[in-house]
Amino acid sequence: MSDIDNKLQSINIEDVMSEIRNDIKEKYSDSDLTTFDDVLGDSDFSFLSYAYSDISLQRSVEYVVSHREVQVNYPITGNPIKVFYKKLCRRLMAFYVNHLFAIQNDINYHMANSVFQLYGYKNKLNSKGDFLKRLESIEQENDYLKTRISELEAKLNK
Amino acid sequence: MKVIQMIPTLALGDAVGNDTFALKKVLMDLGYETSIHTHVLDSRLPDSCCEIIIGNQMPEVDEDDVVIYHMSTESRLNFDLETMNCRKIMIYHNITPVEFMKDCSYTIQKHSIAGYAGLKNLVGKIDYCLADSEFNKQDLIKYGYTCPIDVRPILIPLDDYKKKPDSKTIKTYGSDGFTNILFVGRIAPNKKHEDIIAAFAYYNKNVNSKSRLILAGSNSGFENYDAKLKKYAETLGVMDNVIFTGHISFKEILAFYSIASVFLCMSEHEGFCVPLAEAMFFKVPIIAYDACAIPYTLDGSGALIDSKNPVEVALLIDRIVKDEELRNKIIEGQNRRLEDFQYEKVKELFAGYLKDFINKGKA
Repeated sequence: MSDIDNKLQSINIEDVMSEIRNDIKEKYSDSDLTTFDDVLGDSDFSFLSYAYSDISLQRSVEYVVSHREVQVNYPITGNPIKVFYKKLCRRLMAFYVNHLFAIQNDINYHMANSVFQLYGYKNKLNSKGDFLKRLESIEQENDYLKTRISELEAKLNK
Repeated sequence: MKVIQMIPTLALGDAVGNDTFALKKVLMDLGYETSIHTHVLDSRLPDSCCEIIIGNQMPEVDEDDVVIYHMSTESRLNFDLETMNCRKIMIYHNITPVEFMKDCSYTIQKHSIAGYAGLKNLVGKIDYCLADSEFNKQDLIKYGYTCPIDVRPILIPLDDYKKKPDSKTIKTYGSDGFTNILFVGRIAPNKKHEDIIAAFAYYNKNVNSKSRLILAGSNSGFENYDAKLKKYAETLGVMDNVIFTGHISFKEILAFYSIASVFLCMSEHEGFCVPLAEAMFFKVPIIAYDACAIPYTLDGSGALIDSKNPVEVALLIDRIVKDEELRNKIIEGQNRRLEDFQYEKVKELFAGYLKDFINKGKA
């Protein structure tokens, strides 16, 4: 770190900061900004109102599908005493908790399946939309060709 | 003898993924038979770029082969790696500690807890470690690693940054006379975006109203934190001047760097912080909080500060924007530091360490 300190001296950021601190005393009011902790957590789901994004949807679907199962026996870490204590608590509470885990996993499975099915349906609609667009353009082309044939036939009959 | 790389998830645009691809090229240049093996491949990458590991079916190796394992997260590889009968090198990119994730979902917290459990599990099972920074090296020592550990900066494909930036972004944000303050990095609590917003709010309201904060990075996995940040910016009355870009293309990232006046980083946990090197490349003066790997990555360049006082940070931004001499001095220092991250230099360093390990049986 001594090298770093030496190089820092050549930029004198500490001197600049000291000047700034003096300036604050003389010219600027100290900050009375709301702190981040004062901001309430998200409770109105505003984060769900993002503009539609294919990538975002795909990522969320992948996440929901791959994380649908909540593991009861997740790895317990810590020192051996903590591990023993946590395992003991888990075993004692198993009769109550495991049942809830099973219900939650059942709900998660159906939620994930619903989301996945909707995602598949959306992709199907996309491809159907592409097909309809192509059909429309072929019909337009066909109409044009029909008109053109009629025009040429009329010219020929003259 | 072959040298293979293993990585839990190979993702596009991710610093660890970029490092893996860059190392593959280096290994090929050095004449080694090499390949990348992963459990999860980003769907945007071609299948041919790596081999997928199914379950615990590890790649076949001989005793004299070398596995380079990229450690940065929770993975079953942290446990399955020990079944491979060959020499093992671990490149440690660091894991974000759970303390930073206290308001996040259980799944996010589990990534961190299980990641560190994996790191502990590998103690004594790795022959040699390469750390992205001195900070990462100290982390390994703290967790009980006694094998030789060297420091090697992450390989950054700097030539990629010479590509043409997105002209639409430059036109939108770079031609209206606003001072653009930039931070690049995924929206995550360890990066302390709230401290950036607080400093910017003071700067915007009291110093320079023609200023804009650009927070470039995906919020994937941290949507609640992202929503809270937006609420915070609204509460401080600066939401109109704060741009949350979400996931953006590489060309857009290049554009944001090219129009930035200052790069502001208040992060409290980084294993290396590639965006600092990127800012150096684009000659954007850096203001960064002195924590984790940041002083090692800056190595005396940039403006390293030990205060998060929003007024002090705001006035430092102002000083750097207005004081050309100071700005040039900072950029000069950054240019010098950037030399250490040049591809050829890092490649040589890595090649030297690898050859040393292979030839002398570094263990």
